[in-house]
Amino acid sequence: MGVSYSAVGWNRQKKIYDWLIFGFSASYLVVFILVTAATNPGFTFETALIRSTATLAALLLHVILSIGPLCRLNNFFLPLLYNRRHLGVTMFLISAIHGGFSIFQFHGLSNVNPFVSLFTSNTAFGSVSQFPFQALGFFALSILFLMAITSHDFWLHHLTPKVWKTLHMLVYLAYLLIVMHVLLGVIQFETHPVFIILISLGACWLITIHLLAGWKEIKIDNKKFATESNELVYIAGIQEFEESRAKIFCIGSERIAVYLHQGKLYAIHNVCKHQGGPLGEGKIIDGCITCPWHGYQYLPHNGQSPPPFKEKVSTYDIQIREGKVYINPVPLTAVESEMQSDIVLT
Amino acid sequence: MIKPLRKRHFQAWSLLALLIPVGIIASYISIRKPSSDKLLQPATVKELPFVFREIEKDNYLILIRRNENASQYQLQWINKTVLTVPTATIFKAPLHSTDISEGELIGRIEARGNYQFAIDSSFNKGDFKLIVYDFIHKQIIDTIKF
Repeated sequence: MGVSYSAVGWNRQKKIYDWLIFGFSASYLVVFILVTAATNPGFTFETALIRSTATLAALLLHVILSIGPLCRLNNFFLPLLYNRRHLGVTMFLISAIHGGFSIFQFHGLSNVNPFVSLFTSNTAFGSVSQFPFQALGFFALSILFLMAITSHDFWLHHLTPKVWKTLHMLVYLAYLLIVMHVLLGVIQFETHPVFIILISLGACWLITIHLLAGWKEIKIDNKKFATESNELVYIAGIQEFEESRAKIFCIGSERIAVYLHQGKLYAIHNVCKHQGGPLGEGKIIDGCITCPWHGYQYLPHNGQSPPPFKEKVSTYDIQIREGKVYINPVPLTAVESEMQSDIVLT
Repeated sequence: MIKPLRKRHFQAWSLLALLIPVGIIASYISIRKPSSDKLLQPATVKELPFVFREIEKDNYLILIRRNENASQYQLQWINKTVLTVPTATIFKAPLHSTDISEGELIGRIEARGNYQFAIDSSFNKGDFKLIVYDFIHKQIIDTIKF
């Protein structure tokens, strides 16, 4: 969370996260190359580097794509989400090394530009077993490049979260291209079944957790709430709320988080202005509702980020009658939210 | 996440759940079978029964065969080890000749295998040699005199 842009807003957690990424990646590459050298004396460094970066990038991509659904299934994984973009940029850099060395090794001696050679040396587009799989890798790398260069919050704000999120959903297309790059490349040339088993298990894992998380969300979205008089919707009994925690209700097409904090109830829009994080899954820190994804904060009574920040989420009118909590799903105006008195539980 | 975005995520993974298994199955059944190490000649080519010339070298065994009434002749070439060139041709040449253009092409052999070539009765006489010629690098690999 910041009022101005810097290349990286370092803090202790980010440094630990990044050192772990760097340490793991460097160790993986070194071990892979040493094992290759020990078991295959005829190896070349370029080939070992191409293969080690390929497998590392594929592994990191699976981790990155697992984080989102795992967090939706269990809050235990939330710390992984905090700095996921650095993991994504690291994965792109490793993929770029793989792509760069592959083009250098396989197309560097061509009598045309290596990038022209990439697309013209094999034009068997009608064949599955001889399909020009390198082109698929190139397009996947192009998407990862686009995502890496727009990963900074500067682009998030200038492109708007909606456009930015849509752009970054292209990672799913990149994943499909990478899977096909492997299936039509390595799998066609290496006879050992371990490769097709690994890529199948990876795909099976990702598809399963994404669909499970999706179904969980659909279940929440489909819960029906009865509208009573004056547009008020009954949501829950008072006794169902826990101190400093929120309950999330999907009313109409919007999710609303209702927090109980110091004996008072607050209702705010569940979607963080930063990257759409679920505010209702966060907690109250220093009197502010804190997004579990990247730590953006909002004051509970008016949805305003504390000064000097300017982000604001909608708040809602909330009423208690005979031990039942009701909410008006129409967002309060700025003036109304400032005039809204806290709902005290008695 | 807002509801439309959640929906799009779910749709995207539902689509991937269909496409990726299709891709895995299609690519798996398309894996090319490795070519087996077998004789390129038709299986119907049989060895003739009588061997009347034979020479064995470190890398190959060469037999000249004929049938009972000497109406058919055959050169049998057996590679004992893998040739150092991927493919070579065998020429029959006069004993004194060192020029491949003076030779008569018998056939082509690959790095591995057992080959039989039909030849004529002139192999009855001993006034010839066989030249193994690497036509890619344009060099004589070996000369065999009986």
